[in-house]
Amino acid sequence: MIALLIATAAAAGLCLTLLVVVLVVRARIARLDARSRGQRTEVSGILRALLVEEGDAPAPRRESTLHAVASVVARVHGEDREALQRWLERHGAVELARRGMRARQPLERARGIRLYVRTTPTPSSQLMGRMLDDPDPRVRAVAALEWGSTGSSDAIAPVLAAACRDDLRLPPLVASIAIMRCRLLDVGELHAAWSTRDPDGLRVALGTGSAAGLAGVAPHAIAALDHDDALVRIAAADALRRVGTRRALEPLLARAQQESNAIARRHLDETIVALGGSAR
Amino acid sequence: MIHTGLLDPGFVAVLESSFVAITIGFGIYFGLYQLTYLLIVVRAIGSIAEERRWASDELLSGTFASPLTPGVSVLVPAHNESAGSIACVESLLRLQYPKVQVIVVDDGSTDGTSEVLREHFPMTLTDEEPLSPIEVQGEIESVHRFEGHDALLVRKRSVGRRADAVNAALRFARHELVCMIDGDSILSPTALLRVVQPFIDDPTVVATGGIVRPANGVTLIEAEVDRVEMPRRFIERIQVLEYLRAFLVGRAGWSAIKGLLIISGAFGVFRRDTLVELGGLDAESLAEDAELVVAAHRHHRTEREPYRIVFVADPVCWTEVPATWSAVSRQRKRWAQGLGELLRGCRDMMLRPRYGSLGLVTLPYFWLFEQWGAPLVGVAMIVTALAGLFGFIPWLAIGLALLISYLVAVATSLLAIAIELGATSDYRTGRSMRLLIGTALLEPILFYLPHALWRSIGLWRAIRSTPSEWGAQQRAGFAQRAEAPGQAA
Repeated sequence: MIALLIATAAAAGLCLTLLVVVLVVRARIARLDARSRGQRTEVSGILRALLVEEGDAPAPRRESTLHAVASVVARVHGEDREALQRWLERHGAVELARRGMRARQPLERARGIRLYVRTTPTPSSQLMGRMLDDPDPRVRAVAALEWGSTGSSDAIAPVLAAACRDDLRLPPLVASIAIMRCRLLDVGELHAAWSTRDPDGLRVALGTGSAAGLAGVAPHAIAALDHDDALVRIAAADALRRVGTRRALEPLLARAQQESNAIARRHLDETIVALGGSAR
Repeated sequence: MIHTGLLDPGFVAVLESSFVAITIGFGIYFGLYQLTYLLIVVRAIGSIAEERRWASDELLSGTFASPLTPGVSVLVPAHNESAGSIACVESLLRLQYPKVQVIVVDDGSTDGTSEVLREHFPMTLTDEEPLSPIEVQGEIESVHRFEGHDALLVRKRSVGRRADAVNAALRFARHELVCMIDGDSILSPTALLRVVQPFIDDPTVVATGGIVRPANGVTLIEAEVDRVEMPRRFIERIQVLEYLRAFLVGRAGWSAIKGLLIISGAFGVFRRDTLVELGGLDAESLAEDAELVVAAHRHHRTEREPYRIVFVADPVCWTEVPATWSAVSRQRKRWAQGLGELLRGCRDMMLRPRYGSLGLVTLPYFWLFEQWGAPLVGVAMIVTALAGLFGFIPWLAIGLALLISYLVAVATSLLAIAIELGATSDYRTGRSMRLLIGTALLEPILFYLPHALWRSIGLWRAIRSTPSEWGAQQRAGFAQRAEAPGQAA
């Protein structure tokens, strides 16, 4: 009986605690909402001072303001971007970012990368390359996306190499998004995929290269039509649909005849029709 | 109290110790159940918190633009869904996704579902040929193509099974991925973009599922959810709470231990190749969604192929839940029967290390607690009452035990509410909070026993292999709010 009484008291205590937790969580969320409203007001003031009045803006009240202003940098260009970057640098954002990139917590490192890339006009390739080797996959993803967001073609080769390697690999989706944001002008920049013939790397290279309209992708896509991985064969067929010529019809028809994967066959057929051939 | 003075004292002693032992056994059983659930919740909290911290809208816009993003065929089986089908199809046609094919299958509706859709969306009769050789039992009567959209309306004869309608849609699916949703559901605009991401990053992902929420109480503007309120009826509010426990907490937890058994038929994405290889859904099953997930587990484990089945605790599908006790009763009996049939079909996977967490944790948990929990509640009640009547256990002790189980049930719901509050903003208003907490306090008193009874009946039907059909449900449709004057322009 005593055990039951203790258990009842414990269960009632648990219930009350959880009820309090619910109320505390709600109150905390309301406080956070109020704080972010306050921060929005502060950030608006800074942006108005820097971009509209083109004067000086007050110093940030807290570190999170630096991150909030840095998030705006990603959406503006030219003089506005430079004005924001100058203000961020003046208030210690670069130092804060570098410190964050060395932090133990992966989330802090990711925030550090964002702040660094958005504050620095030309991010260091060496430093960004090191962040692509981060042990945490999410940090690597943030590094690739942020580096890609600068539009610099310096990012293409290291990002693709990170998607092709065995250890500390970059997910293909992230690699493709990062490369799509860069100025991809030369098919040679996708060398890592052509040389390793890694399935994920090939998908990324075929997809991004053909989306950028690089005709040099076509021979690589023809070679990839015989790859063991069906996803690569699909990517190759899609790439040829974008940048292929009638010269690709012969290998496409040959592949379509022996293709056992129904989806890959459909992609092949669509490409054959798009290039002026006739599907079976 | 029943007097035992006339009985043989030896017999009474045996009877007493038996009753006490059985009661203690029940106590251990329910304690174990709560402990397992608690462990799942702890895993769920960890995985949801991690996912939220790293969520990025930037990745969504990138996914939309990525050349690697695969196309998705959305399969919509509909049976007597005239009330909600227009909103459902409109939400699908407005999805933020680069390549979507929508296939609505009217499975022999008698309420004019096809006619309502044909009136609302311009479409023409087509002689579209199926692409996959999936077996369908009900004859396909007509196929219409939506004008200006990559969408089909397939009308077929009903054989009374949702799975057969899904298979009919699967025959026409042409993209790499297929998403199944119900004909009374609404997808949030970015739901597909989020739920598809694991497929692009990891070719071993064969299925993903997302959160499903009750649409009762939700107001739409132009097929998009505008405002979320707790529904008016108590039975609907109970289901809101149940969905919070099942989807936000339960599935996130099972997914975190790699033992996800169910990807809801109301919102799940699969590789089309895998589905076709498995021959489509099992048209005989009542739990065809779980059956499919189990089949995928079995196939890949047997072939020793690496695979992942993932629950993404973010994308949201809103679906209409039954609004009356009788409809809920029919639905729960059907679900329990489906679970019973499913677990009977995968007995050979139970406690087998080669099936990993699914065989060692998930299936035994579902067999022991989800399947047999309901009838055991009834038996426990009877045994405890008899023990009280015979005077073997004091009534105070029985009362305290009942109070403990009530408090633990309330605590479980409160935990789910706390997680929901931290994770999403859907039910954060004061009114919603009050109603959710009130429902959590009343649910164990008003709903647990009838629910246990329905589940027991369902289990009995599964044991007897009683035939069952589509659940007939009265649909109210979605509440639509007109745009304010001037907004439309």
